[in-house]
Amino acid sequence: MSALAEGLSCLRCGGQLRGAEDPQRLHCAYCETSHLMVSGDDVAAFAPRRRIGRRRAHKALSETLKSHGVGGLSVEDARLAWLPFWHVQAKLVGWQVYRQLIEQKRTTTTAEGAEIPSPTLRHEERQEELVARDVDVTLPGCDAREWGLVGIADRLRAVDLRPFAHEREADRALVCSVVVPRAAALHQAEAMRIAGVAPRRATHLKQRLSLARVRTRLIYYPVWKLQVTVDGVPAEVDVDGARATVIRGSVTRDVPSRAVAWWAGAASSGWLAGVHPALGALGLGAWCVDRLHRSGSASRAGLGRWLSEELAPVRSRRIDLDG
Amino acid sequence: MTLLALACPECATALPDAEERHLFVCGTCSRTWSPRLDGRGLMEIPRHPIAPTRRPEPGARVVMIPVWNVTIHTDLLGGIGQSLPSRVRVPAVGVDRLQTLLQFARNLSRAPVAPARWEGVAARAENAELAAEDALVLAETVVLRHLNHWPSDDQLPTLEIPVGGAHLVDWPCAVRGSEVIELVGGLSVHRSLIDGVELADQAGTLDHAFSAIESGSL
Repeated sequence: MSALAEGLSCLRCGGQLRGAEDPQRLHCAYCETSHLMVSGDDVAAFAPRRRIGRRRAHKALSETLKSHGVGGLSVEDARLAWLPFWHVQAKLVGWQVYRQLIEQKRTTTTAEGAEIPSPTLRHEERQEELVARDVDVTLPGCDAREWGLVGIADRLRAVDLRPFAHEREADRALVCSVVVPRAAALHQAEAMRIAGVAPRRATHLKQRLSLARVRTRLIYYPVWKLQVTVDGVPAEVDVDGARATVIRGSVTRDVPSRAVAWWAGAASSGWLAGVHPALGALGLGAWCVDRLHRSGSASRAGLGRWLSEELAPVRSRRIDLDG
Repeated sequence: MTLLALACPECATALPDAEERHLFVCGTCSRTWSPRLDGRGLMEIPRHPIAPTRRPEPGARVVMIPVWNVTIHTDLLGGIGQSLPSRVRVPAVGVDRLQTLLQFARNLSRAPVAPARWEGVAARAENAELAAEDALVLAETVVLRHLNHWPSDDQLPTLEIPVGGAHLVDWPCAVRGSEVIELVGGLSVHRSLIDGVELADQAGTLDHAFSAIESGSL
């Protein structure tokens, strides 16, 4: 990390401070004095050192659509939001006792020398276990699900951090308020990790676990919210503002099914032609599907697939295109 | 948020820093400092070396391992308090090998030794990875295992351990092969506890002080 710490000077010689691996530390390039950012009652806030701009977010979405064979992208509006996340690092330490069902498979040997399975022996054993594990979790400090994010631990791995300039960013973008207090985040981190240390099939579980060496900080993560139309279909897409990847998308109004439109059109045509509406609809609908299939319109078919797989509200599962 | 220059308040020397470090030792005057909770400066952490009772084997490295000496108010625990140590000693290095650290802490706390202050010795103070509040949490974990017949399963989650204050001391140890042998009670722990931890070899500077052990002046 070589970027200069913005606007901060050495308290001893006035030289420019440089960032270090640990975002809470700064070093003077001249007198080599280290500086520590002490939070006191406040919480240190950081953000990815680099974030993408609107054009790059547009490009990221365009490339994702192209990879699905979809064109016709038009961006109507783009807004940048900074979402706060609690980053909790600690050591979970303590004891747990539980009973565990032990199964012992047995075989008996017959007079002919063949082995046949016997009923399995089951008994409970009491276990005492020392727990000493790392805790490293990120938890939303606001309603981040609206942007398709729950935690950002994976996203942070390849990202350098810098102190977050709250006031400056608030002038240029939406900075979401922290609505989850630190104590609640710590409690949640502890609960999440404690739930994970209980072994499977353990009964009568009793735990005495505590967090030691706790480090909490806020990390503001950038997300671009793009209002777009894809081949005429209006949609809203969230793009990771640090890694330039699409997080998720959703159509912003119900799109009538093309098939329904075709069937309705065919039925009307059949009625006008004096044919029984059902027969007319059947014939004309089959013709439309055939034409569509023959034309091999990659864009339309691709869009349909992209919408159905990733945007359609009826299948609004969260997607992760990073992989 | 406050920006704090890491310079010794006593002699103004720049304090050596490293990631995750929260205690800072001055290389000039050997004082140990920690950021004040309100972020308005550094406060001194008192510490002193513990006197060894034996000499290291020839050729061994001698290191001073920082150890938190945590007081347990055993008298407040009634009958079960009688089986507890009144001091729990938690090494302040090797946090990444927590199980080894806890095992060493348990052995150090159970050892029938009465460590004394090593007077008149200019041992170099090493950096501690653990802060005092973390040492208290680990001390509680160690104490639970010491209880007579272990607390009952129902008691385990809620039993209150009356943990007192924590004081930092420097524990003399010899490093030889794959073992670290502490020089007060003669207990050993696997060397992995201090792997990756910067601990200076003080065999040369402390040689004269070790000679005093043989002459019986300690």
